[in-house]
Amino acid sequence: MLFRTPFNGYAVKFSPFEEGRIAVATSQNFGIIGNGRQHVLQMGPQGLVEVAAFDTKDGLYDCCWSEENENILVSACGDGSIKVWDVQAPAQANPLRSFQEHQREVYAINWNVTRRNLFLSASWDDSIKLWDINAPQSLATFKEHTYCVYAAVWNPAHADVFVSASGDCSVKVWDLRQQRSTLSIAAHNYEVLCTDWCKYNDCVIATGSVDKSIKIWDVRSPTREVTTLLGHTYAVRRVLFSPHAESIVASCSYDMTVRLWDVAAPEDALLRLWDHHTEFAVGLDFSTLTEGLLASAGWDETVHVWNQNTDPRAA
Amino acid sequence: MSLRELVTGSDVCTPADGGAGPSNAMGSLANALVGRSSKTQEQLRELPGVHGLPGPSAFGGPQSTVDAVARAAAEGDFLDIPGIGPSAGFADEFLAQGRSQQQAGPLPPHFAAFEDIYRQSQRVGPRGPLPGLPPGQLGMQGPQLAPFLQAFLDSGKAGAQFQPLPMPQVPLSMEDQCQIRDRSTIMARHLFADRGDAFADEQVGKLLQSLHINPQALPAGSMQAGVSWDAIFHNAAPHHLMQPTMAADVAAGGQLAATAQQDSQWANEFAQLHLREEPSASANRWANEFQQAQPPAETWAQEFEQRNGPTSRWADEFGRQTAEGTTATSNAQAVDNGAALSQTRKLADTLAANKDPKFQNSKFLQFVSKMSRGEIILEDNQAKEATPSQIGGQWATEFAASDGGLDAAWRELGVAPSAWGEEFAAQNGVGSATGWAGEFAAQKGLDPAAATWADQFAEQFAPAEEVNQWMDEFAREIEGDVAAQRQNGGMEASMPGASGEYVMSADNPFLEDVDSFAKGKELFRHGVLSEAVLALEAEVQRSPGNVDAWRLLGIVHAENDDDQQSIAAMNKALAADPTNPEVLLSLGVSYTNELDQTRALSYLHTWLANHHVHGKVAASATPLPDSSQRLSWVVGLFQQAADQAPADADIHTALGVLYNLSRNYERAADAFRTVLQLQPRDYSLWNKLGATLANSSHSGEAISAYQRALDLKPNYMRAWTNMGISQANVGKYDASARYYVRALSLNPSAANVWGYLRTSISCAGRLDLMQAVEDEDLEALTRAQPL
Repeated sequence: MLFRTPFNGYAVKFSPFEEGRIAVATSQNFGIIGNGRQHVLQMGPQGLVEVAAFDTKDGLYDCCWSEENENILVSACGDGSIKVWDVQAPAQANPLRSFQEHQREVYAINWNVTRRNLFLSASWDDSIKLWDINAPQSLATFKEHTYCVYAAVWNPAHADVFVSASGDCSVKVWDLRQQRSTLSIAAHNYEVLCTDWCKYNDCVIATGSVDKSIKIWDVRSPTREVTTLLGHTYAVRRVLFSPHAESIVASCSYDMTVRLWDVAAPEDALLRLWDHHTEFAVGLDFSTLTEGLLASAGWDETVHVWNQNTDPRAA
Repeated sequence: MSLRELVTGSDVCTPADGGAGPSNAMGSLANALVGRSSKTQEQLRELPGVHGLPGPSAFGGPQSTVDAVARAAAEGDFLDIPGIGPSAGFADEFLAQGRSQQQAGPLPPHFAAFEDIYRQSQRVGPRGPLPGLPPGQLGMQGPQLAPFLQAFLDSGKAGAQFQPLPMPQVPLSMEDQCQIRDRSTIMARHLFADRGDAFADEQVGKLLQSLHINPQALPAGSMQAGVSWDAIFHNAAPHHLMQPTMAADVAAGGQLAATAQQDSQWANEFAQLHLREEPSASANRWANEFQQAQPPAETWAQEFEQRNGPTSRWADEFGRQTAEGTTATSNAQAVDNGAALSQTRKLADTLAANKDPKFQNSKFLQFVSKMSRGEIILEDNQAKEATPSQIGGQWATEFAASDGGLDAAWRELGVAPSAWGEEFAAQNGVGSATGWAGEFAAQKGLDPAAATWADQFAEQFAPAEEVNQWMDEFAREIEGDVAAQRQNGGMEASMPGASGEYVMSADNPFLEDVDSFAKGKELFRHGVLSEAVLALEAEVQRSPGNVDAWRLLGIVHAENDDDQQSIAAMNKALAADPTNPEVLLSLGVSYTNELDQTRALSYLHTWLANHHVHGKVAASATPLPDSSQRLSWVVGLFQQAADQAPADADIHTALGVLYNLSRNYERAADAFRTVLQLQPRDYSLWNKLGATLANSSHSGEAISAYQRALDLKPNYMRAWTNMGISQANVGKYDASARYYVRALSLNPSAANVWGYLRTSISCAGRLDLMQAVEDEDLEALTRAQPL
């Protein structure tokens, strides 16, 4: 399934509540300058249909569904704000809130699946902020990175733990109960753009970097990666562990491909390669409700949704 | 000054004060490259391939991309920017010239398409403002921006220099200009990482220039003096504007300062959070939950510090390994220096293959990243193995060794590497086990002795069909791994191997002493451990088949906190006597500590099967349903046997070990308590109990258990260490430092404990003692922190 967005896609996320509902964050002019638009799409017999769209003053870099309320959606905005949308509310009522605290672009948002009122934002102002959707201000700020933070992801098994990836080439594991980061891994020699937890092993993370590689780490032995996945020819923009299989990882990259890997395979880790995008592939998500369903968004202004066993361009 | 400031000269997105940061080196570079705008234009004209007006050379990218751009342009963008007349005349003129020029370089393949873009952009009329947004607030400039940005990005893919296209002034506000510059810089660094930051900045400079943004007019820092800008611009020679060390120091300083201070504001905010756990106890919770056989060091910081130790320690071990040269493993280790970085180094080499002189400048980024890692490397080190033997030592205080840890961690799943690795190796024949399997196999660092053991072991159990099923699997795995390792020369071999070779001490005074075995036992009883080691080593060198000597050597090393040697010695004992119950049991315990679940289960199971009483239980058990159920199956067996024999200390001890492996700490503690009623004077059992309690966040009770152990054996170095760790867990950093100092006075070469001490000292705020810790000045520390 295919959907064309007027702007360049940046992020795509499946709703955890509604099957086939997808949020797409887009930015004009590749997010360098211009507006942004947050789409909500619905898969149907006619393909992908737009259910709602919200415009913003600056580009949107990421979006995330609430785990508490199926209509709430938040977007990370280039002007440092976080916008909260209600899909059911009329256009005048949106955005419901705008959290403006970051001093630079907010690049990533991630919602806590256990404590469902909490979410994180990662920003180019080198900090990560913890938010409660109901609180007027951030609950905490985590500032240890020395360069842009590109991602912050909650641990699916432990509600207080999250990992962050930064352009200072490090990946940090944090615990809300501790003042400072509990672990710092010098993950790559170049900027680390993305990270994700394994959904079946609470100690394993994947990191993707400008050095074109994806590394799998066990936080109990952070001196050395468990394995490295090579194959991308440009920076790896997003890496995700599958919610349905312990060792399956999907990644998308500036080399315009989306790849599926099996980190457990000794050789031939690459399971699939999809090159349906004609520009940078920057948004990627697994559906948790429908096994095998993937969505990707790219700077070529397209959003594709397909089953991992099929070709995205088909149907 | 963070990297942010270096890049953009300011912390904020849109510096309103007209020039925030101190010296914005990067900005200066961009400025320098672009130069003053008017001059730039002239310079451009003189560049090759440019006649009269610069041509759009090398707007790389596939045709479809251009189409996309054209479409975007055609669909148009929003705002009606007053004053932007599509510079029709100018563009047409340019296009006409472009077509007719004899250019030095080839015309871009899609020049015609690019032409179309312009045509289309002319046709697009002004649009109304975006609904809901106030007009004039947006900085986007319609169709004219998109192609530039597209070309800017494509230039990276085509590997070509972005040749800017001159356009009439578009009214981008200062804010917008800054934003374009900053965001393009960040993106450029992602794209052009392998060509270095300077190249990326150049591209950004050209983009800015093409949009008629004068970077110098933007809020930026002062220029660096003393550099020839013209030379740089013309020749694009490698330039070293930033002193890497300075930048890195600054970056590192910022990093260190941030982490060294207590962030009181965060603490206040945090205190307002209504969390259920109290901070002190909660510090353990999550870390506990997933540190399996992991006694005391629960908090992340401490676990992290476990991998510490002076760099020299790792180098020593490494040096030792290279000195051995007896196995492929150690040879591979010698070759594969710095295994942790080899992978990334290969990558860096690949990236550097470009031979682009500008790549030199990316060393800046590398240096910064190294410095930001530097603080980590200072603290971080190869993890030590923590595998005391069951009898002699105590529970592991440290955590899985880096060598065993990784795949051990996977094995913890019960499914992972054993399934993948061995299935793969089995399927494809061990010969082809390269890549991950090879690494995995090599990481196991198998001792050739193990292969023999596996053979004997397999023979032993030929009759017992049910039991044999997964035993064979295991044996095959071992054989496969050994063969694979030999084939691969042990690539990416682990650091101190899980089953590495035993290293004999040099200059052993007991070598000629035929009574050294007896003396060794005596020395051990008296607690003079280092001497005992020498005496026992002399014995085993004379009689390599002396199981008891090897076993005792294993115990002694464990008590002396040298787990690597302990396991090596135990394996030697096992080679001499594959069914020795004590050795099997202690290896089972050791491997449990190392989270090497497969091996641990195998040894424990063998122990059980060989037991004169419990062997029946093992033989009559239902066969293993599938390998992922291994752990619970073995636990079930042991539980069965234990129920039948309530007074058998060993079985309950083993059961306690197994429950630790499966993180069932309540039952593990019960099992140990059962044994302690039978053998209340076994100091190592008290230690194990303490470790189990500590693992399950009962650090207070753990401290009592350790105290019992120490009462029974006052120079029990491991227990001193563990005590220190538990004290740290309850927040008594000063006390814990004292315990560590005491432990170190018993065994000064315990690298991991130096690390713990360092953490405690810093948490206790005694930074005045940090130098003493760095220098390993035990005397000063004992004076300062006595018990």
